[in-house]
Amino acid sequence: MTQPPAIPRHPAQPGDNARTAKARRQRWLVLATLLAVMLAWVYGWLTAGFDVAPEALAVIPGASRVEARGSIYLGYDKAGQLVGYAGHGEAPGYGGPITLVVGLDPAGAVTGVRIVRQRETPSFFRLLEREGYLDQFEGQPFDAGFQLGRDLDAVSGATFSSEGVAAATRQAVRAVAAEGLGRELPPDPTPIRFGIPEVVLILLYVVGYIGHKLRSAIWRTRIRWATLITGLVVIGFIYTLPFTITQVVSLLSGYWPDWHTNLYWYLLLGGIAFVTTVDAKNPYCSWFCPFGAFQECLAALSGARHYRPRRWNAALTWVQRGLAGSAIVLGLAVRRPGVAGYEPFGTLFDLRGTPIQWIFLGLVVAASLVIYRPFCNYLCPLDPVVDFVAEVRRQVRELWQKWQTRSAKT
Amino acid sequence: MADPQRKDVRQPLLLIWVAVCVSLVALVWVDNFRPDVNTASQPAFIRSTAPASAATATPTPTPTTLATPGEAPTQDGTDDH
Repeated sequence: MTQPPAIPRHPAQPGDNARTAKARRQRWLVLATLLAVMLAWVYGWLTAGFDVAPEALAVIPGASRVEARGSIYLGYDKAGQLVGYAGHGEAPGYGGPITLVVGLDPAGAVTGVRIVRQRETPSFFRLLEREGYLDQFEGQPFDAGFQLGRDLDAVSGATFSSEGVAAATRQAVRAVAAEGLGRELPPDPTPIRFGIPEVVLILLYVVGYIGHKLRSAIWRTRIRWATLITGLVVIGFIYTLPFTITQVVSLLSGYWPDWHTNLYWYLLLGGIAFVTTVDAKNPYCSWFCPFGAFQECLAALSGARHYRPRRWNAALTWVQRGLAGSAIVLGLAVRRPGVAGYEPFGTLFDLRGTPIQWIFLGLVVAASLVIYRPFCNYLCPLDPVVDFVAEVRRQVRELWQKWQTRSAKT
Repeated sequence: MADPQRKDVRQPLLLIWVAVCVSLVALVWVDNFRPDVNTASQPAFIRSTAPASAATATPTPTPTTLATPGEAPTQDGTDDH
């Protein structure tokens, strides 16, 4: 009995070769991107070291030399008289650890605070200097507490940086008190900061997740507008805590902030990573990104529509990916996540920025009146990052399915 | 027929807009690398009463006038970037 010829389950289609080639290209691009990020990470790690000791001299008035003892430095004048102590501390800021040295006189009063290294967004970190934040430390006794909100005034618009400097100072002063002055300070209290931003963020995730599952288009649109406006007002204008590329670089650099005081950071990044990995959906950008909401409000007012020329589609996609990739590689290579950020979020929501950032924001606002979400569609570095996570998820899933099929056959 | 003509105008404008914005991003990055904010190589946040160089170091009295123990905290909860 002759068998009929086997019919292939999926007959070859004209577009199959092109699709296979595209999938292969995508795989190589994912690997190349991972390699570039890893190389930048290794380069940044190898070149990140520095010596704190020379800085200690500058914060001890009258000292002509310093000697290391344990983890602190003792400062002596030319006659060999002890004139003060210096200790160094390190605590997470917004873009990574802030390292500083603190000088104290023999009586235990702060004589100087010097930032040795920081990785914050420069335009925001400059606020600390401009508003005299560090002046608050001078002359304070070693047991002053140095708690933000109680002993120190935070700089509005740079609260993460203010907290980082305060925490690093507490660490340095504690070391000097114990090893130099022979006085023990009580342990640093680290209450968990869980307030309105954290609650609102969790609610936005939940409502956004439920909202996008709704079948009713009318209700989906209504709920989406509600989450967008909430994101714009709460995450944007009130607290200025949007998702930024700086946070992505901090995450990749290993500069994870203290979860007690930065629970929001973990909820924001963890939530986006979790939903994107599990559900392959980006919950943030389309449902509650405050800058996206701002552009969408402008589009609603002016009647702007989505526009993307087909001829330039691939080139524009690569420009956006190039910006995101460059920001990540740059931030990792110099180990300063703060320098990678270029989004005009802070300029809009805090009304602070350099002239260049104001011009940039002006161009985005103008374009938002004629094109739907131009920043999100052409310039935002976060869209390619979330797409990359989704692409990795897809490829891992494909490999897993192939492996399972192969195992089942054998 | 008006629509394709409109698209023709929008396309070059969009490309110019993207090019200008990318240039501004590059300028933001250059600005972020300005030496006055790179505290490792050129400290800009010295708040010490001591001179930076040991060669010219002179004793300075400890300032005590800046302590503000009685002031009420004014943290407003707003956050940055």
